[in-house]
Amino acid sequence: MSETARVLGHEPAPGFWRRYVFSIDHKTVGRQYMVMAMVMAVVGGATAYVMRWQLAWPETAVPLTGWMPEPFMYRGIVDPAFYNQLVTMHGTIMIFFVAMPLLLGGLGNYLVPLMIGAPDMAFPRLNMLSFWIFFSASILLLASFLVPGGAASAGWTSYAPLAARPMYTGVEWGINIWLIAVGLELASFLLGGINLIVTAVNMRAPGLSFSRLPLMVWMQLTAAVLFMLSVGPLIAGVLMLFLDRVAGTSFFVPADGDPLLWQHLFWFFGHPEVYVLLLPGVGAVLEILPVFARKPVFGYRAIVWSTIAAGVLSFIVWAHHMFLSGIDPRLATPFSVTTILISVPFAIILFAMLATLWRGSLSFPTPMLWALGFITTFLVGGLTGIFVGSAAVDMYFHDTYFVVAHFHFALFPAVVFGGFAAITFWYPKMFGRMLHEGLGRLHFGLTLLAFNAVFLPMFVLGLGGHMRRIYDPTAYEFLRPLMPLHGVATIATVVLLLSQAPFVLNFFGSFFLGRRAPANPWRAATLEWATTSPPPHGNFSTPPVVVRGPYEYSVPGAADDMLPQGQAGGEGAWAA
Amino acid sequence: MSGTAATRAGLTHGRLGTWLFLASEVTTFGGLFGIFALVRHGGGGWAHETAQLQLGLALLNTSVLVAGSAIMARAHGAARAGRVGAAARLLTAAALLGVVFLAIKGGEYGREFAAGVGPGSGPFWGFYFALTGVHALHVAAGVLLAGVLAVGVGRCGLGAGAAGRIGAAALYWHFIDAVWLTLVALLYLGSTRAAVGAVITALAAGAVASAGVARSDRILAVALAAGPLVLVTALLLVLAPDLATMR
Repeated sequence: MSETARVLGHEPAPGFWRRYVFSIDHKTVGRQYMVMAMVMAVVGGATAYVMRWQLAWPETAVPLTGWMPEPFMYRGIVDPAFYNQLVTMHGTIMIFFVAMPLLLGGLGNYLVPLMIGAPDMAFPRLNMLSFWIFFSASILLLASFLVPGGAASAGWTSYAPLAARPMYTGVEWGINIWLIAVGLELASFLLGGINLIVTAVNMRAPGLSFSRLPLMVWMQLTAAVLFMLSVGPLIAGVLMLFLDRVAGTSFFVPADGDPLLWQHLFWFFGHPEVYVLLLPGVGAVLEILPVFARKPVFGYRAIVWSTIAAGVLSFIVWAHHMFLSGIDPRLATPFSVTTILISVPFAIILFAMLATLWRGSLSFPTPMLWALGFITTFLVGGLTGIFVGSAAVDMYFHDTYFVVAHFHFALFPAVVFGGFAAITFWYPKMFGRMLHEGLGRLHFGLTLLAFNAVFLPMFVLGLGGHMRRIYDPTAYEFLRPLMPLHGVATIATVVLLLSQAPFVLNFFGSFFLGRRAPANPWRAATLEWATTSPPPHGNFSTPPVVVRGPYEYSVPGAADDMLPQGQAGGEGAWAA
Repeated sequence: MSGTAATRAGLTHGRLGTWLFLASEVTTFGGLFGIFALVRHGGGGWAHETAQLQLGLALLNTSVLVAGSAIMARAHGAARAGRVGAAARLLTAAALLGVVFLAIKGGEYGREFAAGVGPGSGPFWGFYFALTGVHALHVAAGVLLAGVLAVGVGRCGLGAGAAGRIGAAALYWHFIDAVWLTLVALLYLGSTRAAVGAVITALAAGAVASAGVARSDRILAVALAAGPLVLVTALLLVLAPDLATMR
């Protein structure tokens, strides 16, 4: 039985529920992940707004929040305990419930089968199950605001012993639910990642060797492998922390257990996780640059080997999150060395991006603007990483806003710039309509300016000794002169949130009113552009056969400036 | 570059997916065993607690679980040979043995609770209940898996890919066995040497059991087990300096 028949044969003419809700089509599941990520991003953005207001103008009423009930806010004034919940939920939501579903669940699911010429994922039903596990985890996490005591408030890292005993935070069920929701989310993405690896390894179209794989697929594949090999110890840790809370064990409580162990388990996962989030964004940028430079990617092999090297190194850098936690200095030094070493492969990738642009025939539609925005902003995040990677410097910086600015400059470009680059680039493929170019440019320009205005002042705050995780900076005499910078960051946060309005308008407006998209609006070479926009169920009417690499632009002597990667093959190309 | 990618990799989707899942399971249990080893190394040993456990019941359970695994392997063989009735019967038998294992384990828990011992009674008991509890959940999943397959084979016979699914379920059962052997050594025998011995025994048993298995499977098994094991070992080695401060 051919693969197409295997995928299509089971469902004759699906009804509404099967087609749009409980769909096993990777394209629907991918878009479900993306929509869910956007919904969670609204909540994550709202937490940022309330937090930022409290930091700039402490204990004044936050506009538009007068309706919030009493244990959380008092006529718009943030309760200190609720502030801790906001910090915790902001990190948890943005990392686990926005970045991962957007970049891995959404882009990975949607793009990988199309880019490798496959009709669907290897396990379509498992794919649907993964999404619904993730969906349940999201609902559970949001519901935790409503239980007595409120949501989790021990930070998105849930350090022990703070998180290990209810009496330390005053939050009883909030943290228990947090642990269940995060555990479910991890399980969901573990299953999704395994599905993606099997798909990318086993279902490539004939002729699509690993050396011809589009870089987005390489990045998704590496991210899935990193996640699969790093998540186990954290799942074990989450379980033990849960037992510490509900069954009276003391794994992470001093005397019988060891609080540092939780940090080791968390960051053994947490650091590879940073690259799990970063790589898909990098992959999107690497797909977009050659298309709008009309040039092959510079250094394909160097990029692939750098990615693999960074993936391996990411397993031996985790303790740089713990330089301030009292780890043995003999342990800190080797971790400083590996941390600074890991900037080498990423420098190679950034230089390859710049060299791809060099002497290209550049054009600047919205996806290209986001891709260039990624390069400039991520560079700041990467370079400040070298500062905090050094144990001696990190001792001073780690508990300050410098680190907050650093990791936002690393993750925001990857998730938001990379994410919007991908959404604007593949929107025509996903929904069959073109986005509005003017609204797209407005959205990009405002977001770029506002983002920098939020986080550049935080570097200065950090250098001024402003510590993280405090409710009211004015309580400290030496922080008062820094307050104007908080004001700038908060006003910019409001602008940043409002800047997303053109995008929302564009996203939903173009869905109904946008110009109909041709199959290949950007004249790109990879396989997903060879099928219709949007692709049919089963993706390709005739299975493609791959005849060349993914980035054959402006080949000397060729009649056209682009040679498509695949050509129509014959039935049986996917024989299982 | 002829033929499909599936034949190039030499493995069906199901088998490759199962191997990848087991590799991630190695890191999960590796994390649990790693923490156990660290805390035990930092403390004074748990001879007193170990003596309170029911070694006889654990050994009985070991034979039950290993028998279940062997039966799963035979069910896989029967499915490949197309013997529908035998495959369904063997799968049912394996699921029942899993239930027997859980019943014995539940009885053990009952005795311990009756003696006033629970997860909060001390570091050893925390580990004992966490490790055996997680393992028991895995056995329950194995029972479910074998049961669903047994019902499916009984009703619809051996469709396309049924043998592959049974083979994947058998792989999972073997993995649960290996984990249990390590647990018996760590918790009931209570010595690092016994644990190393058990792991070697499990590996040897795996090697013997895999005599009839495809070569690509064996290579993947070694690669996917070795990768995470190396990672977890590296984790432990790196943490070694911390041991000094924990004592």
